[in-house]
Amino acid sequence: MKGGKNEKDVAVELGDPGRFRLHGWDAAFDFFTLATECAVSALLPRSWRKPVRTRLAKQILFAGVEAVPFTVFAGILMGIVLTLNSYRWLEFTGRIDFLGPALSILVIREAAPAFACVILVAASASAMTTELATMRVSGEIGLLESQGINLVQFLAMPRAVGLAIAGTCLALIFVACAFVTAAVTILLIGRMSPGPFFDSIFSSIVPADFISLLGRGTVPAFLIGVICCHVGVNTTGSSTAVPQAVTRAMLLSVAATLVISALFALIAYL
Amino acid sequence: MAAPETDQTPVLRLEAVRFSGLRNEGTFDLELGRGEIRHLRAFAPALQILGIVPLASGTVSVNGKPWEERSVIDRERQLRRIGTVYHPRGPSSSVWVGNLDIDENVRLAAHFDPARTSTTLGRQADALAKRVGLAEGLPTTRPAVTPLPDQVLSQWVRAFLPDPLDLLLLESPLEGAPAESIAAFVAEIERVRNAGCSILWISEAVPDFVALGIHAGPDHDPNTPT
Repeated sequence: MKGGKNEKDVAVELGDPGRFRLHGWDAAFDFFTLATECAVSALLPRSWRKPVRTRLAKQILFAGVEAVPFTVFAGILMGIVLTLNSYRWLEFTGRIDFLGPALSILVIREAAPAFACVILVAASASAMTTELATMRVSGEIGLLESQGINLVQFLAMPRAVGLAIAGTCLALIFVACAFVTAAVTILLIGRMSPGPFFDSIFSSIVPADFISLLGRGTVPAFLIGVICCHVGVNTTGSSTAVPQAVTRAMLLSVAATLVISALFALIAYL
Repeated sequence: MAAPETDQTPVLRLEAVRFSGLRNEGTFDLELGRGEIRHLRAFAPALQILGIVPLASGTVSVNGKPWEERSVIDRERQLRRIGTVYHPRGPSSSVWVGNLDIDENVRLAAHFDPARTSTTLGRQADALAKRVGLAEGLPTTRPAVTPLPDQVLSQWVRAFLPDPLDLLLLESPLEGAPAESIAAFVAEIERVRNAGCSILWISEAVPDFVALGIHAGPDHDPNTPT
């Protein structure tokens, strides 16, 4: 986490067209170092001093608890959409008995982790980057450093871990809401009772689904936290640099989510 | 190359230091031994002395070791043994973290000291706050809505809170302070000096240590730029 201004930072402030990219290998190395340091720091009990625990609790509250209503809303709507579409096509092909497995693939493997991350990016990534970038340009980061406070331990780690916990919980809530809505929808259509429907879902779930759901809920959310902290703390210049930093952090977060999703799909199902 | 730390090693050494900033001119050489107090005529250079903001030139050593030669952990450990009162209108530093209450700000760094529990820390901070004139303890309000005199007193508490305390950097510490609290501030300065803490009083105006009742050595005259 460096505060110095270099040519690339200046280019960002001036609106260089390459501003949405992670700036070269140095920045990429810096980012992976930060991610590793956050992960290691989270595993050490001595890292969890009172202000760090407080920050973690606030992060889970802001990113997780406050996002529950919207996640429930999204889960219900996606449950209806996916059920109706799947039902229509499986009925057309004469394989309606595959409805449960099809929904489990769509919801558990794809929709839930993706939506959880989208909700985190939309609701938390921008707020987190804005907060940290503003702290940097207003001198608060320098104040923390001058008091011997470890920035990774106090600023980055609890935010990244908080987002990881929130992301996993939101994905699970999304799954529950989508499946309950799917059962109700099927009941309303009147072609299948919820019992066999849930039986077919549970019988089709394999360990890779759990790994994928938890991995794709946790890892991208953790990386979103690290990205926002990295971009926010490395913002330089005046307050006009803050909106650009937020845009960059959000785009990098979406990119990280997609890359991690693809990697998990390859690891879990190949 | 860092010198091995001994009792004779100055707590703070400025070697041919030039501070950045429009209001800072000249080169400073200074050595501050244990329990000494000195004045530095400059405008808000604490972050530069602490190695956070780069100097224009020169070297700052604390306990015989320049900041550049310290590892991250060593630097953080040393910084946690330095108390600082920041200039309320300094050029590059916020005095408080805006999204924490004043009491949280004051105790924040000390929470990272593994030798102190939250309970002990809270008790020590409250006792200090009462001694310097915050009768109701540390303010539990955000900095933006806390009156300036309370902020000044809270800054004093934050500066005196590290334990052990090697060095105090006081940037215009009396600016905005209630007159009735100054005697308590001086008493705290003498207390920490007796425990071996060195003090660098930084201001553009020369402080009258005699009038304040601070017992400075015969060579306490302002270290004017050369």
